[in-house]
Amino acid sequence: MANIHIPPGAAGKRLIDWLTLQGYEIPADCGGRGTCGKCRVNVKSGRFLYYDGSEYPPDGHGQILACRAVCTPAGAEISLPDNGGSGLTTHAARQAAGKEAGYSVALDIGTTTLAASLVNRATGEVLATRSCLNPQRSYGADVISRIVACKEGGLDKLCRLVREKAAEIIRDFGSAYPDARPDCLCVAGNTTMLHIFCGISPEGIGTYPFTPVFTERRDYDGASLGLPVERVILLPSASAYIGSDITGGVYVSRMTRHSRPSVLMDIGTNGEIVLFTGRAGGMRLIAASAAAGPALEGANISCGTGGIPGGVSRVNLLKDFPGILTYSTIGDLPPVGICGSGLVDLVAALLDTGTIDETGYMEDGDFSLCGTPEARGRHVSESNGRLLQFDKIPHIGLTQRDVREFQLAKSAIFSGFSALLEHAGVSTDDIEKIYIAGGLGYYLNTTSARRTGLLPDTDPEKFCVVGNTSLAGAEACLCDSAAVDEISDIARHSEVLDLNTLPRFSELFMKNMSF
Amino acid sequence: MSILNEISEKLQRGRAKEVSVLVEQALAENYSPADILNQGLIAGMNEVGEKFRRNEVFVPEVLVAARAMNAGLKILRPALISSGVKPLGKAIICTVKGDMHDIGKNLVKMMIEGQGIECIDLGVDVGPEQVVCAVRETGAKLVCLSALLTTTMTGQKEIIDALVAAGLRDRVKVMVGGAPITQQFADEIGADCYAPDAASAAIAARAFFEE
Repeated sequence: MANIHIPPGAAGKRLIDWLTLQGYEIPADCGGRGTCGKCRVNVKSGRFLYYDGSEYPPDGHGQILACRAVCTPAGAEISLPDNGGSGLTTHAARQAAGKEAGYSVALDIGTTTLAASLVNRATGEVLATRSCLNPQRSYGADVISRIVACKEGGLDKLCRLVREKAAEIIRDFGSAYPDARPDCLCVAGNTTMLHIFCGISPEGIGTYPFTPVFTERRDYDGASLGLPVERVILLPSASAYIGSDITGGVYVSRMTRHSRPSVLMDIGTNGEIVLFTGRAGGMRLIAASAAAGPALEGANISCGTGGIPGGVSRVNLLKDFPGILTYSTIGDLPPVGICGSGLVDLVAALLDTGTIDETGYMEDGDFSLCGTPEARGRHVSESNGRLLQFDKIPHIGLTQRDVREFQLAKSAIFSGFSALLEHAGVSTDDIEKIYIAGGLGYYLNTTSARRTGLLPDTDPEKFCVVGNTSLAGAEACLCDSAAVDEISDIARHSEVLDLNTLPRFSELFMKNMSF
Repeated sequence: MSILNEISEKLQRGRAKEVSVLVEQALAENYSPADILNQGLIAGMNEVGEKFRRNEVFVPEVLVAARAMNAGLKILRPALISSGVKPLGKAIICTVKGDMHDIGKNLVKMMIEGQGIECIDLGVDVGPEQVVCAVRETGAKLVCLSALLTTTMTGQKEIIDALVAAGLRDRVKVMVGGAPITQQFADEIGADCYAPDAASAAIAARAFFEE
């Protein structure tokens, strides 16, 4: 059976929780108390900590209990034992599996990143996954700059770039798994990315009244797009700014099966928010998109980075030493900058120490997390209880301007959430679950996010981090055509709320900039 | 502290009620309406604008300060009119065609009003014809154009071109701003001024009318 890669970003999570979030069904008859032994997994490489923080070496069979193990930033490879009915499949794909034989590729075209997986349609099993940067990035980081590039004659070029990358991914899967040659590609993504993929100008999306050329499902012959598969399916979108990444997310999260209201939030440059109003609210699906700007992706922040090795991904306030901050980086590498989740943590910690006041003002000036603008010294950082020492630390800090950029971003997302709920007459207390989707959401510490006002200050138990639901939606559709129909239904029934035309949104946006 | 300083202080902290009470009191104590306006309300807004430029205060603080300014103005206005104090000038402001963003535009409007300039807000998604009409009807001497998207910034050029075509270009100054706008773009489209932020816009607007 294929190995499961545990990414460094899973650090600090119980292994069983991480696996469950990914959709693996791990038996735990004792409820994860370490007594039944059903959740054993094979460790292929890497290391884990015992839940009390000590080292957790595998037993004589190379196995550990997933409910007792805590992931580390070093990452690991594991596999699930081939018994007890535990599946090596993603949740959504597994539920939909078994209708069709053959292999397919699911592709999520994000503005920043492409993510793909090779799926066995008969079992729903994901054989391999891959991700890479969107090759259109040299045409700008956000959707609007890509639209401008298309308008200025770049459509063919941008289209070719993404199709060539897709073809390369499909061929790579084919050569890595010669017995699993994919014949079908299922694509999800935001509406602009889907337009460009089809070679259709997204110009109408760039200006009011934001009219896309198409939102419905599209089917192509692979050869006509230059792709080495027989057929290509594009999943349906709901509007110019609510793409099939979001409609797929609604499907995968199963949020419409709750009887009470639930919310899906995808946090990125654009914060998409979908509210399901529940049975009492007439089972409506209302979607909105709030332009947060790229601060949470590391852009416009003086020391910001994306989620790259060495990015500061966690910042903690030491309980026993008031005012002392520790941080951890992706891959435990020397820090190179602050990524989105680290930024949220850092702002939350500085609010707790009073370094940032409730208006966002830093009375003592800019803050240095490590290094100094003048001298570069030896530095200590903490990683899961282990102290790491680095030499030659670059200066990493937070400026007053960074805090202002963050305030704009967090207010846009939270005000979008609030305006949407107000519009539908739903209160935060009514919400049963808040699903947090997307790459940043996956690494986000919800406690810090609530402290800074990025997410609503409600019962932490209500938050459920669901990862890349766009890719999961495409995977599900490959295995079951009923999933495509259900996503089409979601797209058709979604009411789209334009926040820019809502005076209440402006009011909330200005008010929610404070902490 | 003089009562005018006190008005300025309270305004900076966004205390609308206290500003109103102090303006009433200053009028009762026979301060001239022009002094109350310039040394109280406008002085306070200038401080807020300067702090905003230095990133020391942010949009919510500017907003509450502007509300306090408006509360004070409401009390002061009859006295200003009867003593013959006129606004510094008239400006038109809008967000251009295809663009629905009004938060930045509203912020600029508040700051410009904080300079004692009358501001006519045409709203968002505003095309060249509307601006040309408004300039004709109101006789405004300053046109402020906002655009938040790279896809809509060309709307600023279209408005400037329409003003030229209507023969109104030399009767008004045009100021442009918004996230994608640069000094270079402003020069290219023939704008008179580029304002990188709301406080700079207010300073530039005042400079236009004091010229």
